[in-house]
Amino acid sequence: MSLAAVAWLFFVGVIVQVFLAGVGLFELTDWSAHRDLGWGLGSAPILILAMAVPARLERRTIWLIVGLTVVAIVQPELAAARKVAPVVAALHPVNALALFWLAWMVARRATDEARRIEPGRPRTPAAPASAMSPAEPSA
Amino acid sequence: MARALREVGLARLGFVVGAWLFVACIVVQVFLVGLDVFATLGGSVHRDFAYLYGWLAPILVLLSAAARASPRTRALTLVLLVLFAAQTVLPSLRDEFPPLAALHSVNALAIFGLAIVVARRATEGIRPDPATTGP
Repeated sequence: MSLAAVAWLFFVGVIVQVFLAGVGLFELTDWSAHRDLGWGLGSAPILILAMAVPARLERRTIWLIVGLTVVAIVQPELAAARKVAPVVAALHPVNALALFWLAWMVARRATDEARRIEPGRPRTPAAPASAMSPAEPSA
Repeated sequence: MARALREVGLARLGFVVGAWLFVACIVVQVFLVGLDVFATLGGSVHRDFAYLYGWLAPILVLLSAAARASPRTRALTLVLLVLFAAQTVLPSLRDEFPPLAALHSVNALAIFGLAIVVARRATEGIRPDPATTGP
């Protein structure tokens, strides 16, 4: 499975995880599904990082994946801090926003780079930002 | 400052400031959910804060038009308003359609992502064109 596919799978996992949080909040079920998936998602970016390093991605993409890994590892720990530091634990959903944004960025960049890099060929540089019209930047 | 304002335009500057303020309010709003869940703050603070900053969503639609943003940016700002309106309705469905109410949290992600996209596009709109400015 390619890096981009794994990155998009992780992104979908984050969305499912947030839906499971909604399911817990609105008391459709208990929090066990959210908790169980959370522990799995927490370590998934390590796999993305392990795949990214030999894939010769841009340095910025690698740093985004490092950031994603850190944020994902911290996420379950924040929830676990609810008894000793409830205000710190309250950052759990805020950290989820960061996780969502970083997962999206990583998946998009991995897809862009997969299109640009062909096996056995040297990497071509990314298009400069100035090539975009100020009125129509990328989303 | 006055010169910069003349060059950029009040509407464009207002669009940028409003868009990033909206993003910041979403982050605070999500933190309030966390305080409700983990520190028993009470859900009313989360609800009241939504109505406090919610007026920013229609204002952004007006500002995007006044700032002469691209049609795509204006459309995205309108979608942001629709998602925000839906967000206020979703929790009220908890008794009739509980799975729909549970989408409240997923819709929050969509609002957050879209708000950042709109804010970035608004910011791009006030950046000087590198082709016309010197190094």
